[in-house]
Amino acid sequence: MGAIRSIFLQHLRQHLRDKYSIFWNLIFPLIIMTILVLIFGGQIEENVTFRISIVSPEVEESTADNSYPAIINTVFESIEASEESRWFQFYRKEENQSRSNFLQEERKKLEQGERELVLVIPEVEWGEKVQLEIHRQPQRQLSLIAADVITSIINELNKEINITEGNISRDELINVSSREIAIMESESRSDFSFAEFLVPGIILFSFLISGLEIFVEKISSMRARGILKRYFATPLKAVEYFSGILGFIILLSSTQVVLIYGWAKIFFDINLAIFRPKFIFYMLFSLIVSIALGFLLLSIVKNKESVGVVTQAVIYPMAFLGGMFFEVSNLSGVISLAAKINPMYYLVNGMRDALGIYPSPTPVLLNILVPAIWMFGSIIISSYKFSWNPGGES
Amino acid sequence: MVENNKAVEIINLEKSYGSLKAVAGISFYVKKGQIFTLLGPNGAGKTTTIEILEGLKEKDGGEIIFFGETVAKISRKEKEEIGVLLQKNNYIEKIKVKEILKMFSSFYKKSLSTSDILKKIALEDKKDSFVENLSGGQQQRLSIGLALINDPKILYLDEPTTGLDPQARRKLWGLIKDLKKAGKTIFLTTHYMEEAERLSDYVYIMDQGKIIADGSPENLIDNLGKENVIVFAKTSFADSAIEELQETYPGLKITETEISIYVKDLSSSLTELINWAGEKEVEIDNLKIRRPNLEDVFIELTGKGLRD
Repeated sequence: MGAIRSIFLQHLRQHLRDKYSIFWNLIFPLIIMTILVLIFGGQIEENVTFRISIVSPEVEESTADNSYPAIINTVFESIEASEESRWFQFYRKEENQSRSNFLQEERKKLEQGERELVLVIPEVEWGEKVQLEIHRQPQRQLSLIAADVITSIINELNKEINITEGNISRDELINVSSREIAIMESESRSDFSFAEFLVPGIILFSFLISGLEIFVEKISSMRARGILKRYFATPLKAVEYFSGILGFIILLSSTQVVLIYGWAKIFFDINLAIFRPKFIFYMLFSLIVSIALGFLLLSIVKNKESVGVVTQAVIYPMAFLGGMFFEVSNLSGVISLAAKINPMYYLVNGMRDALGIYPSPTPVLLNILVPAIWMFGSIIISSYKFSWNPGGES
Repeated sequence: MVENNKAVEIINLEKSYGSLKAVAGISFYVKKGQIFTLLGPNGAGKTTTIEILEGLKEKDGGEIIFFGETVAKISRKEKEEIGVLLQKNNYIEKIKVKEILKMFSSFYKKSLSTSDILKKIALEDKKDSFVENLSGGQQQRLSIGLALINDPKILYLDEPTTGLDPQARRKLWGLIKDLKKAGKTIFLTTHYMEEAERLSDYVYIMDQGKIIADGSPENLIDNLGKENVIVFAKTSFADSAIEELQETYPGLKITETEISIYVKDLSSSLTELINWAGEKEVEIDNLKIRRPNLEDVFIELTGKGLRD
């Protein structure tokens, strides 16, 4: 226990005595958050509700039961009736209103910021290709999130269709295309708070820095300079050394959480219950995943000079493509794939869902599973490749 | 019952890195209370040997007997009794002398007080200084202090004076001698023959992973069978003159700058050399006469210098 305490105190002292470390680990995340909120924020209200217009086809009752448009309508009706309804407010045309007139009105409301999304279900015959249209505002985060959520609902529906109907071709499934609506000059009203959206992302970003930058760079530098070798010429156990350094990282991360939350609470009037067990679980899980990724880097990159470069090359793409600062659902191609295999994407979705900021666009199971695969993969590779010695000799 | 006076013994120790045999089946023992030195050029296998004995590397073959007990490897139990000074001693930044001593003391079950250690290494007035602000010699004394923190039975000092200026080197030799007087067993590796000669009770000379000679420094030098060495500058000598000298003095050693002639009878050999130089009309510059040393032993054994 004495050795763990010593290692913990040694890292703490070293950190407190280094003004650069204090800046990068404690102040920099606050600066990033402030800049992003000042640029992209400005909408500070309480709960999020996605106001979604559903433009349904004018179908006859006889074909309504088994057509895809009818199935989609049923899905949204069931969402309205479920617990998830707190997230959504659906708008449908009046009985005596024409479809085109309703679509025109709702698009206008989308432009004015009174809707987050307009979903157009086409009029199709049975067996025809179904091409849903999503109208969204690219400048509004909440509109992008709503588009992401609706797309994920349709994807789930397609999976169900595949299971019940057998393996059917892509053309026979429901497809989604997006149309972007320009924002009007008038200030749109929204319940969405960008600061609240950002807080979990900034917390995760801090953890990523702790796990990758501090952990990796500290150990790599100590390894390269033979300091770890000297430690392990004493009876100090590797587990004691790690417990000490982990204790330090947990303290640092807790301080980061308190600072980020306190800063956002004071300056951006956020209203988030960060002590919810589900959110605490996600924070701990994120920290462990970040540290496991750190170990993976330490195991693969043996050279101290390369470690710094590789770490930076990993942290920032992971942060930006993980949706920590912006919604990444509107990415396409290879970048979209990079986002979808990024464990941070799932962790930040899980964290936002746990805080009730907005429902996760990815299933909860994936929010745990994908980071867990990265975590176990990293641990397995590290257990074979990691070395305490400079030059990599084990 | 005969008391075992061996602190550490190794039998047929082997270690390879790929196809390179760093330690090729060496055997030796270290007597309790002595300074034992492994002398050899860089790359001879000294550090690999000492790191196996420090528990930092695992042997490929052979036996290690640690204070009478055969052990497969040096584990935590043995590390409690070992003090280590590595060849390169770096420290984390922003840590004070007393803090690092306290931290290392927490790694052991038993430890000496930091004030005792500071006194031993004469750094009492530097206890609140940051380690990075100490001079090279002070940092090396601190490294010895860290090696002493657990009051070890045996101290492993790997090239303790490499990189130090002559004054700091002599100061550290004094400290090592004091530790011996206090009854510590010391295992030293060095490529400085003067260091080995001044400090060692017993020397093993190592080259290319093998032990090539052993004995006390005096015995090793006496066994050369030469009492004096005449050294002079090579620069003014033509190749033909050197060839002629080699015929006259078969044991002659030539480096890039010097020629050394090993002789028993100094006065007659010197007269002979000066007469020969007069006849051949060559100048003998920078003439020195000295006693043979361990470097000469090494040259005699391997045909190359310790620093080659």
